[in-house]
Amino acid sequence: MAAIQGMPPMPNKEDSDATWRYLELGVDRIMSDLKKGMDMKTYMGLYTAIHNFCTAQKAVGTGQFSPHNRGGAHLLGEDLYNHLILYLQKHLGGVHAESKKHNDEALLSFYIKEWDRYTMAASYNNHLFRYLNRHWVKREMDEGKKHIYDIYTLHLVRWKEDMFLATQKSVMDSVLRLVEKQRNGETIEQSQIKSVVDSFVSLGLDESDSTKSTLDVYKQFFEAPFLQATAKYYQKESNDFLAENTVVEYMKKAETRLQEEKDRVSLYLLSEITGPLMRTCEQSMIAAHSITLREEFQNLLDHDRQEDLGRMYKLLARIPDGLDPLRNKFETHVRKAGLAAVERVAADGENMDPKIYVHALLEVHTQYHDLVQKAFNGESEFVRSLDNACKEFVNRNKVCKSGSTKSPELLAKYTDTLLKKSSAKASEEDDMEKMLTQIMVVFKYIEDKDVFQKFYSRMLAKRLVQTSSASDDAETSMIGKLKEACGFEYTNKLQRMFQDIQTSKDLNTEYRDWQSEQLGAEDAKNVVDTSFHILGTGFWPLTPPAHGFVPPQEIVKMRDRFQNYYLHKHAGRKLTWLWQLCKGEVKANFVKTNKIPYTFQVSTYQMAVLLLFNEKETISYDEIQQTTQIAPETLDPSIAICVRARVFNVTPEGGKPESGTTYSINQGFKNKKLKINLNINIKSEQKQEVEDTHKTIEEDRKLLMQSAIVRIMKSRKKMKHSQLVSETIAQIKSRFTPKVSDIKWCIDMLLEKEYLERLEDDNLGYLA
Amino acid sequence: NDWNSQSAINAYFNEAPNMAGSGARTDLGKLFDKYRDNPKESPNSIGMEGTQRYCQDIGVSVEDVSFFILSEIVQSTSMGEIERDGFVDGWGLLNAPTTDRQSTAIKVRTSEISTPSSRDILKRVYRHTFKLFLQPPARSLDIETAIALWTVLFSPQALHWQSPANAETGAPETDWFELWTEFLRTKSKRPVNKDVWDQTLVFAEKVLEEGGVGFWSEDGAWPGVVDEFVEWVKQEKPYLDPEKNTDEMEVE
Repeated sequence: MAAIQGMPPMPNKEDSDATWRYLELGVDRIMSDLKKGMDMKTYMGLYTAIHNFCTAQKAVGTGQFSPHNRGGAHLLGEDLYNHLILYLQKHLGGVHAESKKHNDEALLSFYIKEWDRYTMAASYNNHLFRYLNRHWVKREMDEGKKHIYDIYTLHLVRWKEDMFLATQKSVMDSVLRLVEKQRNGETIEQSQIKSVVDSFVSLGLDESDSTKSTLDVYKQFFEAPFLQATAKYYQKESNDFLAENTVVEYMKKAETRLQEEKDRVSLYLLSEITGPLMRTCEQSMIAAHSITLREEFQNLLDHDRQEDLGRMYKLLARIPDGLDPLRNKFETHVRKAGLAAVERVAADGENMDPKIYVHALLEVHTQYHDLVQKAFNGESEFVRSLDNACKEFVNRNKVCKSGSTKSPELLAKYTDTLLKKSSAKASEEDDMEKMLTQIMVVFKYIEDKDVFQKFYSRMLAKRLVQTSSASDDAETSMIGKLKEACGFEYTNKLQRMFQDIQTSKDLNTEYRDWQSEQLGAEDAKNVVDTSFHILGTGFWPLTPPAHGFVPPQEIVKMRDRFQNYYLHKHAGRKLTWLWQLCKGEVKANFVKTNKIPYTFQVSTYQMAVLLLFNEKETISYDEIQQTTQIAPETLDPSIAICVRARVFNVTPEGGKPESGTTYSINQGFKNKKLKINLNINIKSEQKQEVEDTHKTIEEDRKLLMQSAIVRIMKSRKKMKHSQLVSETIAQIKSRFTPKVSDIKWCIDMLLEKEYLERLEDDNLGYLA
Repeated sequence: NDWNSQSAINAYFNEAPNMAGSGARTDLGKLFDKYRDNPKESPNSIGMEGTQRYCQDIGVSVEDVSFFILSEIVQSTSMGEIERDGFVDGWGLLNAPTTDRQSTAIKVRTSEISTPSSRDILKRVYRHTFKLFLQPPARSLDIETAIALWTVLFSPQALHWQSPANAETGAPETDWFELWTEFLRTKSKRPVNKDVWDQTLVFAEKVLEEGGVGFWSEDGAWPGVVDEFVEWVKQEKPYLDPEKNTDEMEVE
C-alpha cells in the first residue's frame, strides 16, 4: 500500500472539474498500476470526493458538462460519469495502439493480459464509484435512460467499443491460425483460446438488461468465423484426401476427424458450439461427398464388408436424408442375393428338396439380418427394406415360377420332415426349437399363408394318425408359434386335431376295459388287438375313401363291436371309416423256415389281400379285385409292393397286376429282419395329394373371400362397392393377397345368391 | 300426322290412368276366358296354344320386341303362359279391354320404345324379360339364351347399342352389341344372373352416353363380366380406346 505522490487536497465538492482532476489520479493508479496498491486514506479520500460531489447542493464552475437541475431531487454524478468515459476512451486508445505491435500468439498473450488487467481494474473502480452506482446511475437507469451502465459494465462497454472492435479481427485470425496448427497436428497453448472465448462471452451485454448477458458478441465474432474456417479447412482436406485415398480410408479419416472436433469443444470451446460445429463438419466431410460415399456402398455389400458398411451407415446417418438411397440399394441387393441363392439350388417342380430350398432362403435372410443388426444399428427402416426384399424373393423366384403357392408348400414339407419321427436328426430340444423359430422367419414372409396352413394341416393329420410325430412338445410349440403369428382362427383346427388324438387315447383304454368285461374266455382269444382314432369331421383334412372296400371278416367283427360300443356311448353320431389310413400287422405263419414267424406291417388293403391266402394257395388278380372291391389304382401298387418284397410268387413270371395274372404265397420267404414294412407310401398317391391340396385352395379362397364379404356387410348393412372391396382385401391380406377382380366375382356370386342387393349410387345392401 | 296420332293415343291412355271400371274388368275377364287352353284344370291361365292365338289376334310377333312388351304388360313370368290377374290388371291399367285397343297399345309402345322418352318403359321391359325366360330354381340364363334376348333388346327396335364415329376423340363407329356378344361367346361363357342382366343395360346406356368405355375404372361397381369385357376391348380392340389413341399421338 502506497500513497499516491502529489495527491492534491480534497477538492471543493461543488467543483466538478476539480473533483475529477482529484479522482483521475486515483482511477489512473488503479488502472495502470494496481499492483502498487492504494492506502486506505487515499481510497477513502477518493470515495468521499465522489460522495461529496454527488450530494452537493449545487455544482459550480464552468465544467464542460453543465449540471442538470433536477427540480428538487439533487442527484449529481453525470459529470463524473462522462469524465470517466473520456478517461477510458483515452486509456483504451493507448492499449489498442500497443496491441498493434504484436502478432499471433504474442498478440493473444497481450490481449489476454490487458483484458485481465482491465477487468480487474474495472471491478475496483466499480467499487470505488459505488455511491455513483447506487444513486445517480440507478436513478438514470430507473428512468429508462439508454446507454447508462453501472461502472463495471461501463468498462466493458468501453472495451468493446474502443478496444475490441478494432482488435477482434487480428485476435480471431491468430486464434484460427492456432486452431489450424492444432488440426495439423501441432501442439498449441489451448488455454489462450479458452481465455479469448471467455473474454468474448463477457462482452455479450444485454442492452435491455445490464444484469444479463447474451452470447451475441461471441456468436458473431468468434463462432461464425470459427465455423467458417472449419468448413474451409475440411473442404480442402477431404477433397485432397479423397483424391489420393480410397473411400474406405476416407471414411476412417472422417470418423477420426469428427471425434477430434467433438473433443475440441470440451478442451477450449463453449459447449454451445457442439451442434453447429458438428453440422459444419458433417456438411464438409459427409454431405459434400455423399454421392462418392454411396457409390461405394454396392461394392462394400458385394464384398460383405460389415465394418466398413457400419462406418458408412454411421457417417451418412449424421446428415439429413443421407440413408434413403442406401435403403433402396440395400433392398435391391438383398432381393438379388435371394433370387441368386434360389437359382443356385433350384430343381424342377417335385424334385425340389424342401430342406435345401428353405435353407437357401434362410441363409440369405440370416446374412443380411445380421448385417442390419451389426452395421445398420438394427434401424427400423433398414429392417423394413430387408423385409421387403425377403418378401419378394421368398414369394417370387425361380422355384415359384408356377405361382407363389410353391414356397408355402415347400416350407410346410420341410416343417413336416423336422417334426416327423425318423432318421438321424438333431433331436435335442434346443435345436428343434431353433429350427422351428427359423421356419417362422420364412413363414413371416410367405404371402399365401393359407396354402401353408392347408399343407401343414394335411401333414399334421398324417403325423397324428400314423403316430409318426417326433414329439408332442415340438408339435405344440409349432402350433403355438403359428397361433402367435396368425391368430386363433388359423390354428383352431390344428388344435382340435390334437385334442381328438388325446381323446381317442382315453377312449381306447375305456373300450379295452369294456371289451374284456363283455367277452367270454373263448371270444377273448380271437380278439384282434385294435386301436381306433375318432376324428371330428370338420377339423381333419381327410376324406372318406373314394372307392368301395370289403374288409376282411376278422376286421369287420372288430369294427362292428367298436361301432356298437361307440354309438351306444354317443347316440346320434355317425362313424365313417377311413380305410385308406388304416394299417395293421399280420404274422406270416406260412413260412416254415423260421421258428419265429415274420411280421408284416401292412395297410388294411394289403391285409385284406393277404388274408385271402388263408383260404386258398393261389388266387387270380380278378378274384382279389372282386372279393376286396379295392379299386385298381390302389390295389395294383399294393400288390406290387408284396411282389417286390417276394411275399408273392407271380404267374406268369413278371406278370403285371391285371386280368390273367395269378398270385401264390412264397413259402420260402426270407428276410434279414423279422418285421417287414410293406406299407410304403405310393409315389403317385403323394403327387395326387399335392395336386388335390392345390385344387382345394382355390375353392377355399373363394369361400374365405365370400365369408369376409358377408361378415363385413352383416355389420355394415350398407356400403359402397369400392369400399367393400378394399375392406375385404384388408381382412384377407394376412392369409393371401386377393385380386380385386376375384373379390368382385365373389360379390357377383353373393348378389346372385341374394345375400346382397344392389342399391343406388354403387351401394350394396345386406339381405339377412 | 304420325306425331299427332301418337300423341293423341298417348293422351287417350293417360286420361284414365289406372282405374278401369269394373265393367272393363269383366270384359277383360271374358276376353281372357276365350283363350284358355284348359278351362277345367287351369281356369286362370292361358297356355301355349292360347297365347299363340292371342298374339296373332293382337298382331304380336313372338320373334320381336312387341312380345316382350306384351309380356311385361300382363306380367307373364313364363314363356307362353298368361295368368288371369296379370292380364286383367295389366290391361285394366291401360284401359284396353278389347283386342283392338290392346293391339293399338302394343303397336304404340313398340314403335316408341326406342325413343329416349320411353326409356323407363324400356327398362321395365328389359328387366321383365329376364324374369320371363328364367326357369327357377335356376338363378341365371345360359349364355345363348341371354344373347338371343339381347339381340332383340339391343336391336335398333329397342336400345340400339351402337355409337357413331366421333371426330373429337377419334373413336370410330362402333357396334358395341357385336363386341359384347363376341366377347361373351369367346371369352366369358358364364351364365347371366339377374344382377349381370340388369347391370348390362346400365352399362350399355353409359357406353352410349359416353360414346366409349373411357368412363370405366377398376374401382367401379360393375360386375366382373363387365370389367373383363372392358379389359378385353382395351386389349383386343385398342383402336376403340380414345385415351390410347391420344397417348400414341403424343409419343409420335
